Amino acid sequence: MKDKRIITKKPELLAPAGDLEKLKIAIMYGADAVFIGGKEFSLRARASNFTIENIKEGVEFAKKYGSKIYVTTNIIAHNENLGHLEEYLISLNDAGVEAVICADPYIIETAKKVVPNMEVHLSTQQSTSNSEAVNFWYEEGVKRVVLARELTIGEIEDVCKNTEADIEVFIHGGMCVSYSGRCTLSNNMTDRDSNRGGCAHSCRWNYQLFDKENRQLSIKSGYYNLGSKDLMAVEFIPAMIEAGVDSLKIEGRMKSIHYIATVVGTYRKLIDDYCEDPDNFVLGDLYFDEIAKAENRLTSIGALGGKPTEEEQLYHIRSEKPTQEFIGIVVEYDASTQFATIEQRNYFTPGESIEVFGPGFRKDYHVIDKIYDEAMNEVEVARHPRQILKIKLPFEVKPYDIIRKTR
Amino acid sequence: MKLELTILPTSFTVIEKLTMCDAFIVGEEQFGLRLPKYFTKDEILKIIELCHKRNQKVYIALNKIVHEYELNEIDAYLNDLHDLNMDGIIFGDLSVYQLARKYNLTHKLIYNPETYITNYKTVEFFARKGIKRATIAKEITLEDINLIGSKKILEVEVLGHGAANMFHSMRDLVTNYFKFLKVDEKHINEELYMIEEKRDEKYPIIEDKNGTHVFSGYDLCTINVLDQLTENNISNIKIDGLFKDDDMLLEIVKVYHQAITDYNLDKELYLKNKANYLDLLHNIKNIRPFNEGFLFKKTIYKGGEINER
Repeated sequence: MKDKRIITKKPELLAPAGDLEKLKIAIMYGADAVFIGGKEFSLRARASNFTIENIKEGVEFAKKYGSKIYVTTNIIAHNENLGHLEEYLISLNDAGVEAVICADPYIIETAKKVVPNMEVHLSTQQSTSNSEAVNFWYEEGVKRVVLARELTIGEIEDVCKNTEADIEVFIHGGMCVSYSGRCTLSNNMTDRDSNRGGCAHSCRWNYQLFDKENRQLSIKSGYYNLGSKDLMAVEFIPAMIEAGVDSLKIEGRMKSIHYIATVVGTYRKLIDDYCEDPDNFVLGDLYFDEIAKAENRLTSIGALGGKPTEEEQLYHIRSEKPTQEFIGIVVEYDASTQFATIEQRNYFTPGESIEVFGPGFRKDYHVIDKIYDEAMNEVEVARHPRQILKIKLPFEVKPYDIIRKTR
Repeated sequence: MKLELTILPTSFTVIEKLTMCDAFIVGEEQFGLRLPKYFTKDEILKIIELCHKRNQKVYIALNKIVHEYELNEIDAYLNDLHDLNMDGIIFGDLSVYQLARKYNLTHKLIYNPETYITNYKTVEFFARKGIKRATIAKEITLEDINLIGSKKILEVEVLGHGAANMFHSMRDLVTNYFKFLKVDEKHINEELYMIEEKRDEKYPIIEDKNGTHVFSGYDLCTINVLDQLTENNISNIKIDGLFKDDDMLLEIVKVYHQAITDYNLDKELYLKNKANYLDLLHNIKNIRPFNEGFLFKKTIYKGGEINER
């Protein structure tokens, strides 16, 4: 009888974090590495707020779980941004950061020179879409290249075959509809530099479309836009693993802890399930259903299945729906009284059915009985954001467990 | 040093007429992006022959973004170019650099990644790669352009007059929209435009075989700063024929040629005539609106709320 095949070299699951709490959640829910933004040289200006002290704390936390921290230094620098780079890179290295994610050749070169033991990863902002371009950077000492989001699964497989560089691909989250790094809609429309952290998402704005004779082509009752649905690559994970992709990246440094816990937890389970028994693996609804609980935007497969069609576009669809399912996060649990202390995140009332979700895809279900405040006064409804509350749960829960309503 | 005048031509006739400029950029549809006119291989041979007789240079546009399945075609094309007596190859994808090495074409390469050349350190990096020239991004200030040029690291060029391409998607964003609406409209290779709901600017949008491109509503105009560009060692300016007919392009080139000639004769003459050149440009029939782009306007580094308009 043939031995059961097991994949031991799993790809890294790489998650985003906009602050320390999200970093911890991402790691606890199964990320092998987390990428964050420091105060300088980073895109996503609003989500880039980690001081060197924060970064150190993040690295310490990650080490306990055997996880790594990467820092984005992915701006395309102007002359005025060239200063202080060396000191900054040295401070990242001293903080224990494993890699910097770069797009500018000067930042890449400087990193190779002043912190040679820190890995350099090439950002997707360089829109690298073939193995020769990957190899250009590999010869420069770039250990890993994040591929452009324009590649099909077949192209990803071919690139992996034709390079020694580590390959990272996006599997989930917001998408640039343009070749990343080549878009200056923001610069031209708002004076904000998209390659220096100022992207205003102008591709998602409302436009009317005309022909040269001023005939309106877009519908009168709606708009034309360029925006893309978000990426969700669940169905392509097995093929990516078989192709030997080294890192699977989730986008979204602006996202909530609920989103990060859910999305990271689901891909963690998917990767582990597949690698455990790839030849008998069945991609069930479970993974799709789980991600849907946190995903409040429309998703698609991007370019993975071929050139994107109208299915991958937003057009005038209002894509964001508020999610109110996430009602709280566990602060602590007292096994002797069975009371869980939780921090409120959305309105809920007694009698509602809940799911408690923790790392390792641990799940328990319950119907909420009475709700108490910190001083054990009963409250009718949980309506105050971030209020500390207590509810009785007949099973053990742990800090950072997520509580959500079941639909 | 004399500022070279490089033209992206709208037709073969224009090339025939433009005896006074220094160089042309031409390309085939399969390999070049956003060119006002695509030529066939035979036409390009003819253009090279004509231009070389007149002591003009011909640069070949090979600036497409390359996917894995296209690498063989690119390799074969470089092999062809190697045998061609052209003066430069414009590329935007680093695979071209990798492949050009084996045909000893590195010294003919002009790196134009549109948005990435924004500081002099990056120019130093590519100078060490042994390429011929780099194209400075359209989104930085004149002060930054001057600083890069004045370092004399490598030949560097800028857009002299033309629309800024500000968006390139692989997707068929016009076709997809009509499919979504279930409307039978086809507008491939056609100049359309879009207007944002809170703005007036008309942004040209074109879907072609390489996807969808969106451009600024205004042409960048550098007629007022040719002295500074020259004095800071910018090697050449490009006049882009995109969204122009033959006559309009010819008229624009004439004005720039006059300005450069005046400057080379006597800087004072150029300075005195500045207002004149602008008048001449404004008087060209149906000329696209133009402005100074980012020459005197810094973009915001980082910035506040994401959804500000």
